[in-house]
Amino acid sequence: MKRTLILGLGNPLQGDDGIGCRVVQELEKRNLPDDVEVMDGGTPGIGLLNLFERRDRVIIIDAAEMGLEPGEFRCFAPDDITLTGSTQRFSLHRSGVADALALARELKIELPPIVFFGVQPASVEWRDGLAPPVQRALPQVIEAVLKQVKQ
Amino acid sequence: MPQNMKIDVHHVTRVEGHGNIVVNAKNGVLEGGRLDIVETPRFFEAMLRGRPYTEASHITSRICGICAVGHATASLRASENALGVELSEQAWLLRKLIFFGEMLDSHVLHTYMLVAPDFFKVGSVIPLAGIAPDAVLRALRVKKLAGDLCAMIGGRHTHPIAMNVGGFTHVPTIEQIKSIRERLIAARKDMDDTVALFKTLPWPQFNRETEYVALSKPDEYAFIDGTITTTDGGSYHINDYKKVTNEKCVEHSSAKHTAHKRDSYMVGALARFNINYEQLHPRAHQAAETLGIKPICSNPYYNTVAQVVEMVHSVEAAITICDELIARGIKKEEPYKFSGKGGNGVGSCEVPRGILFHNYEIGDDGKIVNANCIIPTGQNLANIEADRGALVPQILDQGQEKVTMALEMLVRAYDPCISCSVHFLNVKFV
Repeated sequence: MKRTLILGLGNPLQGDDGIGCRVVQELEKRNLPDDVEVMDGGTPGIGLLNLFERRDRVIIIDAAEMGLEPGEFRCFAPDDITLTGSTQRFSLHRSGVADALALARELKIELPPIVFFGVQPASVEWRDGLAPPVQRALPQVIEAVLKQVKQ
Repeated sequence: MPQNMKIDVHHVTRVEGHGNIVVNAKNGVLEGGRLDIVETPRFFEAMLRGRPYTEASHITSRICGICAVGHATASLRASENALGVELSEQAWLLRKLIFFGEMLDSHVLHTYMLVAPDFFKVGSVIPLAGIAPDAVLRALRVKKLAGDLCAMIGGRHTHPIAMNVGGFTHVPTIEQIKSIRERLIAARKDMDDTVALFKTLPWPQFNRETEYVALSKPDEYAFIDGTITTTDGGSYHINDYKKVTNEKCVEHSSAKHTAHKRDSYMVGALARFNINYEQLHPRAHQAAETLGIKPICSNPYYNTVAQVVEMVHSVEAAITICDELIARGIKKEEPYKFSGKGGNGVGSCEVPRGILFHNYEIGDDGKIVNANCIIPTGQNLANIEADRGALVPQILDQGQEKVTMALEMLVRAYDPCISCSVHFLNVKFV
């Protein structure tokens, strides 16, 4: 089991929701340190928790609605933000990260340190491929993730 | 007693994707009750056209993060039938084994995380974890096992990459199979505890006779391939699926409705249980007896109970397949090479939510000319509406809150997967 997990989340067939998977596809072509695993996690819902087991750190790339311009991205830790995946409207497709983390908190499951790269989508309609502003941001997101890996 | 009631539940909570319930009762009479479904447009069918058949299973496995293996399997069977590809015995065993993994994974999510909170009077699995942590930890443990099983065969978590037309590009080692087998044996305890938990829940008592439709096979509880079988009599080759589904457009829903001999039919765990009960594993029969479910059961809320029975069956059937694989050994097999001759083929399997059809026409250039995909939830829509029409007059005097709850639970019992939702994070910086 490799100690660092870089996890791209989202559905590549839902437009910019696929940003995480696109970053992973690109990273798979790079030479990464031996203890780094890159994974296309798709839309795992609560299954996300199982991917964290026995890792020293996890870097997640996902589309995030942050009220920014499409393609803008931010790096943050779980404590920096309110993840507003509503617990009263729990659905596994939607839940993803927010509900998985809330459930871990409730069950006192110890998680490795997690760093998020949230990328503002333009559209998450069913569509293959990224919108131009998000596509343009792709190299910068990849560089930012690689920089994070080296830290 | 409220004689006039209007219930409009937008985006029923805790179903996969979202749907709306609208009930309009005037003077105690139900008026125009309906279930609105915002289904994925026929996006995937359009998307598949012009693509090489080799990409189809990987694309369609993205329809759903819960049914990824199911869609991939139906997709591969459609291509294999179109191209006349025969699977090796080993490939069949691996296909079945990963399928049991996904069945377990999906059922544990639905039963524990989507349905159980109703009976504990909490809004979701998160507060449930606060009051019944052992149950939720058990669910996560089973889910972990199921996910690891799928990753072992599929080559990665969530969306399988090693499953391809004609077989597998990657096969697990015997050591991996042995390790999973040990964990499946250990999971018998979790299955016993699951049956014990769900036995205690006060299931709503509501029966309505309907037609049940599922695949069946002479030699096993059918999940992949088989004959389309219905409780109203009649069986069909999967190539004749349209004689059963008879899809038609309805005004209030973007999803088509299906009907066979009656106005509606039901697919899913309860339909499989009703049709193929005899072929369940003895431990699953024992579980059914403990849970108090017998064929033919016409209480739609018991679809969840049938899922618990199928979880027990899946663990046992998976152990049996592991034993076979360990006994015969595993070898890497040559991938299928395209012959240059296309064709038309139907693939069908029983995904967790019911019978699924993929139908592809593949050209001699190996590209998909036409694709048709009929999902279980689409087939259940008319039946959910018929149930709701029968249920509401029976419970109308219980008040809006209870009626709403009963309806939400009814929709949830069908485990609908309406894959139109987005799931990216909503983030507020603090």
